[in-house]
Amino acid sequence: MEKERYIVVLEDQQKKSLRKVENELEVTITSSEFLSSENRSYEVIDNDNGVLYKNLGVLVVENMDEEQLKSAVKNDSNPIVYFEKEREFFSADELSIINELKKQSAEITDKISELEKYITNKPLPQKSLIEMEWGLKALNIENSLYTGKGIDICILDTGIELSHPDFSGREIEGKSFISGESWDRDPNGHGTHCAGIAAGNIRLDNGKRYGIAKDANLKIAKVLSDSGKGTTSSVIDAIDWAITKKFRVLSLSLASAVKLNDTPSPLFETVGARALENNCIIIAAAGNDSSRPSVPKPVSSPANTSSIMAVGAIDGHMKIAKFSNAGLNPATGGSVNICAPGVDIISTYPKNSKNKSSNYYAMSGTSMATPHVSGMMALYMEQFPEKTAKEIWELAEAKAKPIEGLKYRDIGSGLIQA
Amino acid sequence: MKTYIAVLKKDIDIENLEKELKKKNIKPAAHYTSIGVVKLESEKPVYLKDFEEYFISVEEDKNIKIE
Repeated sequence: MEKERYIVVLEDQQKKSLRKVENELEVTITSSEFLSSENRSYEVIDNDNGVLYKNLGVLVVENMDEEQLKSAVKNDSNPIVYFEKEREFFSADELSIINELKKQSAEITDKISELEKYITNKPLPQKSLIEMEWGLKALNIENSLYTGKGIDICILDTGIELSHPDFSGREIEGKSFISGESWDRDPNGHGTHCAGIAAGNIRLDNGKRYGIAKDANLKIAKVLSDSGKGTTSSVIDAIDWAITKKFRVLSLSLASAVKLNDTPSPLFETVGARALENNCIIIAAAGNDSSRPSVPKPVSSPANTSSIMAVGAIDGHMKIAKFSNAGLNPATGGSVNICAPGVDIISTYPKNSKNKSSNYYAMSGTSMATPHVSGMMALYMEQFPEKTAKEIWELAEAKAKPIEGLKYRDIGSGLIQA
Repeated sequence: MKTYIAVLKKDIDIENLEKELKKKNIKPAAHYTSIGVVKLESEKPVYLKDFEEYFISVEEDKNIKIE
């Protein structure tokens, strides 16, 4: 059993008083005068014996009844005026360590309280009031505060239907590189659809959001005819125009199929690199030549160059789209860099024989995945104005989310994220 | 007449290139200065080996389509 000693202060040391204390505490008091090297205090003090330090007027006793001592102090006729438990003392170093530990523990306690308070009072995540298309939800677009403001996105495609109600009020610059066809009409619809994904906003009929960078400056380069066909030279024409105009993002939902082990075009390799040198990023569709589950086809040109970002397509179940080409020529740069939603994507569309009554239409293709990435690039560029186009590319790949069960050759670094 | 697109080497003498093209009956259709590319038109094929002093690459215009 652990010994508990008490220091008892006496009012006086008269024989009568000492006898009273001996009787009350049931101990025999030995005076400190009788202590010696052969008779040390700790050998004397026990349940039945106490030691009186006469010069101090202090009695040391062991295992006392504390209540009894308290009542003795209160009783004026009792010579005991004060008592306390014996304390342990440490060297200064040990004490400073203990004090430091106490201080640190107090700081940790404060931090825990602060964190607890923050967690308890944290507002619940705000649910977006605007409904969104599945593709935008997959990109976690509701987490972004950015709208692409001030960033020039150029859509190189079949033009745009400028009379579409979602675009009619906007200031849009364009140029046609197709002889006899105007950039501001789009009987094909493909370019209008892509422009809507990259830089549209919300549907006028049901308020659902389908576009990514609504405040970006939309630029249109018509490089594909109304039948959806074009040539390398019109694309090169348009890229030169766009770089001269200092546009930051060029979105190419177009492709030319390549064979396995074809080397990428040195033309597009150089053009992509020179665009990056001019702080402009070119994003291109990986191509739709595959028919999975058969072995997929390689990434098409110009996306198969290492200086142009290649985009694969996924569906709403987070599976690779059956038509999406794959990075089968990685040694020569023919890899997919990133993926985005590309199946059953609703966006702006002109009224035509395919789409008679609505201003919106669902389409599928790596063409639809590409403007998702282009719109996201505008958001990043607005958020990080000091970053170069090359750094924005690296950021997009670093932020992309891998998808469980999908291969690098199909989705590259993963699904682009806000 | 076919269209060819060539990537230019840096710091070449454009006037000399134009003379070389003229000798071979190749018409320069456009010079894209921002990307260092020229568009050429020619009845006969244009080969890189004939312009190695000026071109990094040359390729015939290809078809491209929506995806």
